[in-house]
Amino acid sequence: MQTKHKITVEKLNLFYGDFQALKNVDINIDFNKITALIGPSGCGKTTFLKTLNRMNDLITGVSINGQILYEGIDIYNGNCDVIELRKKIGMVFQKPNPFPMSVYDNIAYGPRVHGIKDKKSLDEIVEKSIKRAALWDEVKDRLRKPALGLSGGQQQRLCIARVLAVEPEVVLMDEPTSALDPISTGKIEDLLDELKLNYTIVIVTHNMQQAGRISDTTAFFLNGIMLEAGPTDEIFYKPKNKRTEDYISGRFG
Amino acid sequence: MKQDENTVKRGGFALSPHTRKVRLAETTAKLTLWIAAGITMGTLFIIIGYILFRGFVSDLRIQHEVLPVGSKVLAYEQNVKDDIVVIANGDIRATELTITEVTELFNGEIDNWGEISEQDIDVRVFLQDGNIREEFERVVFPDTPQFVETAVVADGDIQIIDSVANTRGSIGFISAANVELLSNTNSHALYVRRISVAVNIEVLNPTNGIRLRYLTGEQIENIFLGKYRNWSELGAADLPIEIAVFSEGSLVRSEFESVLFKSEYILPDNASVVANPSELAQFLVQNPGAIGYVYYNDAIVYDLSLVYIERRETQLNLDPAFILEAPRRAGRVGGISTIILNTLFMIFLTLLLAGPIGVAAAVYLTEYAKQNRMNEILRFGTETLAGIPSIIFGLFGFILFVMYLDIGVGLLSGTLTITFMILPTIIRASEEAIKSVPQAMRESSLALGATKWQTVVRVVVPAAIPGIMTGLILAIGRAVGETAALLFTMGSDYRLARDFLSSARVLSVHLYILVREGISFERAFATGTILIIIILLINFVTNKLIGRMVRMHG
Amino acid sequence: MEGAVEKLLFMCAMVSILTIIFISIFIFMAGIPLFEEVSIIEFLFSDRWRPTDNQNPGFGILAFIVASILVTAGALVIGVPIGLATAIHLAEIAGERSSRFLKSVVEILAGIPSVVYGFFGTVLLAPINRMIFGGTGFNILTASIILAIMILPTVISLSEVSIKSVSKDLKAASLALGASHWQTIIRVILPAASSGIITAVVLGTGRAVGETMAVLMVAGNAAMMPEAVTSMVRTLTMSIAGDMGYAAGIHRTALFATSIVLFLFVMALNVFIKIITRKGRI
Repeated sequence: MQTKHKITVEKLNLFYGDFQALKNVDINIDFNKITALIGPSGCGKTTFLKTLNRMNDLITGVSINGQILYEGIDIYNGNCDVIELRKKIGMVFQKPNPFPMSVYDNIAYGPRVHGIKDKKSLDEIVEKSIKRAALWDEVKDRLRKPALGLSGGQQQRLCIARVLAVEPEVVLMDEPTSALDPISTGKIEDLLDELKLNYTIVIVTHNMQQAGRISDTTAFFLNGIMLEAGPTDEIFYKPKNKRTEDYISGRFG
Repeated sequence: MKQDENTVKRGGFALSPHTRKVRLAETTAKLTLWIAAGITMGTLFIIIGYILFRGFVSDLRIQHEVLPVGSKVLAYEQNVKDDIVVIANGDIRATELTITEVTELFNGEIDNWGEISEQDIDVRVFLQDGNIREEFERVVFPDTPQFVETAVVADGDIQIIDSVANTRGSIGFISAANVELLSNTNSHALYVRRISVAVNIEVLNPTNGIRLRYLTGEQIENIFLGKYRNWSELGAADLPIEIAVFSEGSLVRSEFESVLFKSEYILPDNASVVANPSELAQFLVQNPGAIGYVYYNDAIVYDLSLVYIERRETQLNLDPAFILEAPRRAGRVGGISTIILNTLFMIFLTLLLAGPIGVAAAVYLTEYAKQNRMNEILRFGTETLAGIPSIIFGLFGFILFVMYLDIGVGLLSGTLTITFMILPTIIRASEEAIKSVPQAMRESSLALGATKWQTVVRVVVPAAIPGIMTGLILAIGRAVGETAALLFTMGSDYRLARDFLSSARVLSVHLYILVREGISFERAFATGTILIIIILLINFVTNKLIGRMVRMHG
Repeated sequence: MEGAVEKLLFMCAMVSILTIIFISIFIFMAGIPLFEEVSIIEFLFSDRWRPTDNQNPGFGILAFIVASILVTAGALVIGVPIGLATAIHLAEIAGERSSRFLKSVVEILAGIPSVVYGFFGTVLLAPINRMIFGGTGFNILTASIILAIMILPTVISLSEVSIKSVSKDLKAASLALGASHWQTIIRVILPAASSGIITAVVLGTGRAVGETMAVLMVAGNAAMMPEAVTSMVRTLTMSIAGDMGYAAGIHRTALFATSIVLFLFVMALNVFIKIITRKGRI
């Protein structure tokens, strides 16, 4: 049974103690599309991203009300198991953070943690994931070497591969290319285009051009409020809200 | 990971069996971690709790072969005129003695009241001649009477009372008829405990069954009231209790009954009556489970098996008196005032030496040292010094100060040794404190034209005082707790140190010696309690200081 | 003036290094003469310790070496798991308040003098040991338990610091991949903190090996090779401390030689730590 949207967010409010970081956010994330979240620093887009896979649970003093439905399932329901949720929703972070292990072990980490021990299956999954992350040719001869020996761009693609190894349905990305050089950035943007065929992607980006290039849907956040969301072309060329237009044309942020 | 059929719907997200296993492992692991943390906490509470408890409350269980209650009047024969009372000088705190103690006081085996009443006063014996002396000898000495050589003979009760009242630590005996003469004098009568409880040897060493370890006064009362029929009711072997009492009118019987029973005593009907100790001895041999009372000295003569009688004395252990009194007789008697003072001397001297050097070293390392090889070595040196076992410091101090420099075992050698040991603590803490002084403060001082040295002395060090003090206090804690190194270098003389070269015992060494020599466990607990209190205080003060530092520097 | 001051301060800083150098020199000078009379092999590998036997003295310290090793090993076996578990609890699981409380507990444990620990062992642990196993109650087991308690603070605080210093990014990455908290601790955090944890254990070992008073009071002091966990033993430190008061002549020299062995072992541990921490940083 397929719901209309992959993820539906309704009236989401988030508080860090007394400070309200998200105010009544309503947004839908669509299947197999890239949704970009843009906005100035501190507007809450990363905080919002982290609500989707419940990574905010790690911070003490956070309280949430509102609803986030994943294919109709309320993920903040007390019965919802966070481990299962994160198997379906993966995350790539701003700064590449490979484990201090070999390339192979990094990729195999997810499957191992979820119970796959058999060497043959692991080998298959590792190869498949690295290929999907467009990294295979560069690492196929150094799978057992430390992952920290790779360049920044390679490490980030490694992190993407690591997420893919878990076979999620959604991939969240928190400014994945902001710490990388232009060439690596380009490679990853190409990668995203291929990935959306199989995955639903939500990407937070500071870089508007990037959003314009790769995303299908864009949402503009300002001060914890999601001001406007819609097809990227519309947002960029015919924004309904004046402040969206100001941001896009670079008047602030 | 696609969902498979063997999953459980839980809040909409299928919980795969593997996840369930993982969750279970996590709960178990976290529980184990809680238990480990609990063990750590529990250990501390047990250690501190037990030592503090026994430090403050001494719960002595004394077991003796005589009843815990005694009689003032030592009857000799039926004639009251011949009854004897033992008296002691008013300065002596003791109010009761066992018959053996009386014997040993008069024959010189006990020559100092320290063992009895914890007073360091020598015993002085007064005698009088005549019939009363013969009676006294027969009552008190089990075999050949022997008085201490230094005993002084006085003439009659009144002279005895006079001598005893005016001679510190003295004892004597008078006729019971003149007991009222004691009032308003500096002397008092002593209660003498001389009745024991004898049993058939089967009770103490049964062939089958549990042996009787001791009886309490209350149990003895109840036995002789007939309330117990069998030794098994008292946790011993299965033997019927057979009571023997002396015939009515006998001295030991009237003493026993008046001493033990508060109200009127009624003999149980199954009690057997014996006429004298010899008959009692026979009765005890012939009846397994037999029990009877007898004078202690008679029990010795007839070789009867005696039961240990236990009484409990709960009293305050550590109290202000303990702290203020000096130790005597190798620490068996008295308090620990001199030891505390010695410890304070050590602390003071050590701070005087180690403080400036340590802070100076820290100042150098943080303010002047450049990032070069030499200074890495210096730092390595400080760290390594911290890891060296204290016994090696003790040896080093011994070789260098005691032997080579010939300062001998004493305050100075010990202090010098300790100084080296605690230097790393002071340096480390001072370094941290100095480092955390904001650079801005230094810069403003230099900008005003001050030299580096002036900046350090007037600005940096004052700002780092809380941290430096923390280091000093922690170092003191280490010094106070140090034992091995001090044993060889500072010595173990428990008197107050007179000068820098005197051997001086400190608290930690005192505790060790008390335990090693088995001198007094009650005092050991009190000493340990003081040490723990010092540590807790240090902990409290340093936490407050650190709290203040955090608030100052943020 | 500034130059003079700087030199003075420098000398103060030099005190530590000078002390170590002096300690080494003195101990070696006092102990080496033993080997003119007794071979190193006999010293280290014979368990015949009869220093006061005038006809046929024996200066073999093997029994003490073995005793030190066993007592330390026992302390590690008991203390490291509990300490590490407590450290993990502190760093990852405990809430703010219980964490502060537990940390004060650890601090106080660290400050208790070793003679008090030995006293506690004598009045509480030894009698319990006696009840269960018979004998005097003063043996390897009691000594190991007391030493384990004594090294807990070292193990706990250093391990906790290492665990806390593992980058939060790694923890986040692991959790985002769907690992449980415990899986993250075992597979990512502990391996990353391993050099710090090993340092903690090695420092704890150093403390246990160098401990004198507590073992002196509870280990039984029998200068023989131990046979069981309930054997009374004498460690290197006990041997030095126990005899030093009255030893003379070659006996005393032998004690200094024993302290050389102890000193070298502790130095080796320190060097080992330096090597690990340097590796860990890369």
